[in-house]
Amino acid sequence: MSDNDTATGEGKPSAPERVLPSVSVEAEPKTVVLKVDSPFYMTGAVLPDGEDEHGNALTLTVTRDGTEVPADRADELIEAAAALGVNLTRSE
Amino acid sequence: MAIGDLYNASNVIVGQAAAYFANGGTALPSLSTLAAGGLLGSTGGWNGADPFDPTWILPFLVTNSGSTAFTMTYVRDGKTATTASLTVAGLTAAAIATALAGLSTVGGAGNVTVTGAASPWTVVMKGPAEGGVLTATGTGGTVAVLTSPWLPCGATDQGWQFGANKSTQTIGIEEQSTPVATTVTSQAVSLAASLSEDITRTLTLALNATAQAVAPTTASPGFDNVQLTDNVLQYAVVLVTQNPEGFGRIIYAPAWTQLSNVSVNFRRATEKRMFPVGFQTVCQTNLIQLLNFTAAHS
Repeated sequence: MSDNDTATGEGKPSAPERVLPSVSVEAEPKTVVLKVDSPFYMTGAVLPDGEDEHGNALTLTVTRDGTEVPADRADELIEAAAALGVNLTRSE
Repeated sequence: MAIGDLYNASNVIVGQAAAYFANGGTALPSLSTLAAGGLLGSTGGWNGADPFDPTWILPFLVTNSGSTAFTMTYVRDGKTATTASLTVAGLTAAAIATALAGLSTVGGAGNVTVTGAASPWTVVMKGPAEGGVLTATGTGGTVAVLTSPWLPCGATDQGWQFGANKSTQTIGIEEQSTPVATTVTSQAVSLAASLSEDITRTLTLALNATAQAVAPTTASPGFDNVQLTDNVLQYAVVLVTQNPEGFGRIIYAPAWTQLSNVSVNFRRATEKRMFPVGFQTVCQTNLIQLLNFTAAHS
C-alpha cells in the first residue's frame, strides 16, 4: 500500500495543497537592429521618436554600426528614414 | 544610350563616362545573369547593348510578402512622391513602371524600368532619376525593398579624367651606358572630375565628409548635417564607359580616397557651382580592375 493511498480511509492524510509562489514572466520585447545603408550618409539618421512629458521632441539615432529598436517599430522607422532619403536595412 | 555621343573612325572614339561610388571594399557587382539572389546588382547581369544602362549596378529589388496592395514612395534630393495603391492581383511590371513614371521624383517613363512577371520585381531608375530611395508600404502584409550599395557620382562639368601616373627609377651600372633595369617606385591611379550637382551627396564626396540626416520635428526643420572629418574616408568607385566595339568598359578599384582641394565659385549667373573631386586608389595594383567587354552574353 502506498503512503498516499486513502481509498481505505487509512494511511497518512493527503499532503496539504502546495501553493506555488506566483511568478510573472514577461516576454522580452523583440528587437531588431537597423543600420544606415547609404555610402554618403556615413554617420546615421536622426528620427523623431515622440515627445517627453514636457512636450519636448525626442529623437532616435540610427547609426551605420546598427541601432537596436523594437521590432514592431522597425517598419515605421524605415519609412521615416526613407522620407529623408536614407535607406535603413535590418541587420541579419 | 543615355550618356554622350560616340564617333567611331579607325578606333578613334569620343564619349563620356559615368562614375558610381559605394563604401570602401564594396565588390564589383557580378557580371553574370546567373548570379541573381546574391548582390542586388547582379540580378540584371551586364547589359552589353548599353554600358550606361544602370540595371547592373543600381537596381531595387521589390519583394511582396502577403500584401494584397501596396504603394511605392520615391525620395530624391529632398523631394517625396508616392504612387496610388497598386493591387497585387494581376499586377504587371508595366503597371508598376507606369505608376512610378508618373511620380514627380522620377519624371517620366524614360527614367524607370521594371522587370519581373511577379514578385520580386526589379526596379531601375535611370538618368536624372538615379540616386533616390525607394520604399513600399503593403496592405495586409509587407513589401521589402532591397537597395544597391552603389550610388551615382552624378553630373560633371567636363566629364571624368582617368590617370595612371608612374614614377620610375633607372638602375644603371658603371660598366654600361644604358640602363640595366627600370623599376616603378610609385604609381598614382586617379579619377578626377568637377561634380556639378549641388547636393548633399556631392558635398560629402568633395569634402571628405560624413552626413547625418535629421528629420524635421514640430519645432525644428529637417536637414543634412554634413560633418567634415580628418579621418580619411575610403570609397569603392567604378567608372563605366564604352569602347570602340560598342561594348562597355569598366574601371574599378575597391579602395579610393578623395582628398583633392576644393574651391567653389558662387556666381549669380556666369557659371554653375562645381565641386572638384580626385579619387586616388589606396589598394594593391592587382586589385584595380579594367574590364574591356568584347561580346554580349551568349
